[in-house]
Amino acid sequence: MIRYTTARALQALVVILIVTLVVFVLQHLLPGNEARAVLGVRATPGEINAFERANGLNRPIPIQYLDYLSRLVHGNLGFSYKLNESVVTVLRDDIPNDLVLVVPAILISLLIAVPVGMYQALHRNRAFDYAATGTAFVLYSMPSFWTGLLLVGWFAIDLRWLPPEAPQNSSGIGMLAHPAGLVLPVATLVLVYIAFFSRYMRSSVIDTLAQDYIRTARAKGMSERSVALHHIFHNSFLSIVTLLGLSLPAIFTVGLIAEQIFNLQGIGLAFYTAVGNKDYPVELGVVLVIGVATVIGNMLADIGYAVLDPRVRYD
Amino acid sequence: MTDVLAGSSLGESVPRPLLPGDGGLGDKQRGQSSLRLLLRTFAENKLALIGVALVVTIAGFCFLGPLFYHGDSLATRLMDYNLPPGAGMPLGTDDSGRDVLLRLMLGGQSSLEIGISVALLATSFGAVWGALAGFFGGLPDAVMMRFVDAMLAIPALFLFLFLASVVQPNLWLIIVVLSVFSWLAPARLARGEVLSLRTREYVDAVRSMGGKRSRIILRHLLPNVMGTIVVNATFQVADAIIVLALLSYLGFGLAPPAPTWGGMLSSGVIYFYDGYWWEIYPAGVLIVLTVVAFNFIGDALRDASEVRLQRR
Repeated sequence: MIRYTTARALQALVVILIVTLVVFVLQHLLPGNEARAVLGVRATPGEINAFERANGLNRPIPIQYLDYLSRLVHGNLGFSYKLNESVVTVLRDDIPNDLVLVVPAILISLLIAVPVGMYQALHRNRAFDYAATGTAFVLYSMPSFWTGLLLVGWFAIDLRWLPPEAPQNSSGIGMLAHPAGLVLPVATLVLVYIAFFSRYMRSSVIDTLAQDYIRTARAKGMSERSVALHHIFHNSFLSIVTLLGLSLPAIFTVGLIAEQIFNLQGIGLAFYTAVGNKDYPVELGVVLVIGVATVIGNMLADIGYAVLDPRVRYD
Repeated sequence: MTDVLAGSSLGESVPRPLLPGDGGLGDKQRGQSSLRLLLRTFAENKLALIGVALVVTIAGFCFLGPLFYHGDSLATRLMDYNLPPGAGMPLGTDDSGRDVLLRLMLGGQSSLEIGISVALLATSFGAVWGALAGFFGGLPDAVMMRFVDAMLAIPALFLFLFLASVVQPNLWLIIVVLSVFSWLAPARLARGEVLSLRTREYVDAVRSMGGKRSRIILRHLLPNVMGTIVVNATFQVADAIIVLALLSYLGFGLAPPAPTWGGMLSSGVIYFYDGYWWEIYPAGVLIVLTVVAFNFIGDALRDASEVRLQRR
């Protein structure tokens, strides 16, 4: 187990280094030079020179990469000259809002999708299976912005049941004090995630059903109920855990859309605003943070899976 | 979730946790392709036939429709904005007085063209990348696949928006950039297959007859990986169409006035309050139908290729 964990952690470290390299390369693909972008078109060559020397931009590229890495290790993700604050500050303010949006959405969609997917797999090719499959396909195929805007149209404009935007006068945990405003953003995410998780749960349960230990459990006279609960649910749920790690980029992507629709100030919206402002440090900072979070998420999912299921350990 | 859940199409089989040096589908072995069996199994699948029928209908609507239904989609008639469906305009006009039905046809052309180009480019590049990694193994494999892991960790939409903030996207740029972020899944699939194929007897046979590496990869390994790759390409078309719609919504799709389904949808939904349903639903329904159709076909192809494996 220790060997597996170490190997997996080393692998994650390598992938994180490559992510930083990709982001560093993107930084250097930017048109014009950074000094010019910050100081403006009227800056004199002398001022540009001074800026470049002060920020190490005149050093060889490999050294600049090492500088960049050392800044990252010290928690410095760069500085947004557009917002006049550090990228870390921007992210620190926005990430709690993401958590308030995404965590309930994931929990609710798992609560719905896991039983639905399992029931579908256990009663395959019956009416409910077809109906759920059809619904999942349609939800999956709807562009998420359309889903969100239709919800706004139906429930905020036509029926006037719910506010059309996320709570605007508070952020982070404070938003929970105004749950009505969170219903539509969370519902948008839930509709998209359910499609994904229920399909996945269904195919995972079908895979599990074909295993020998299920036959054994039935052969020794276990009731269908406890087979389903103890063997099938347990094993299929494990693979959903892994899926969560793998789907972080997708979760952030749908998050960006929902934040944009409901004006919820998370890192997705920060990123989108930065794109409009050509605020490259914030854009690259967000990309880096999501990339690293995904790599770590995958690693934790794999290690967690290995703890829970000894068969997958590498040695 | 699309592809957005890029690379994680709905029907993708259950991935096992990633192990160092894991071959992915390594335990699946593949023999001679028996195309006929695959096609027969495919044809027995009702959803597959629905999918094919939908794709044919939609493609016909988009590419043949404009031959029968005339009009100038780019002409703005500011006096005729937001007209409800009526004589001469079965789906009314949009907020610039342009014919919605004709724009749906033309927008579908670009969606399908981009989706299919991306699938072809991405899967061929990914297949070759994965095949090379799997074939050489060792350090090259490790380096190539960790690079794939790193790219998979970065959400494609974010990178695309970043690039869009640097350069103005056009048709070719969109195809290339979408492909750049779509070749990762096929690369992993191809590598897994090649890892198991490269130790097979026929590869040893080619090698012992003095066949070059390039010949082994191109003539023997890649054709055997095709099944998996074709299935994945189908899902790629669907994913690309959704990502394209998201980009249009966020304002970074094809530049206006080029019609795209995503663009029409996002400019139409703001009229929800006014009840202009013809600007809100038709484009969305077409996107959903197209994406569902390609997913049906992909699912059925995969099932069919698994049946083929079982009967082998």
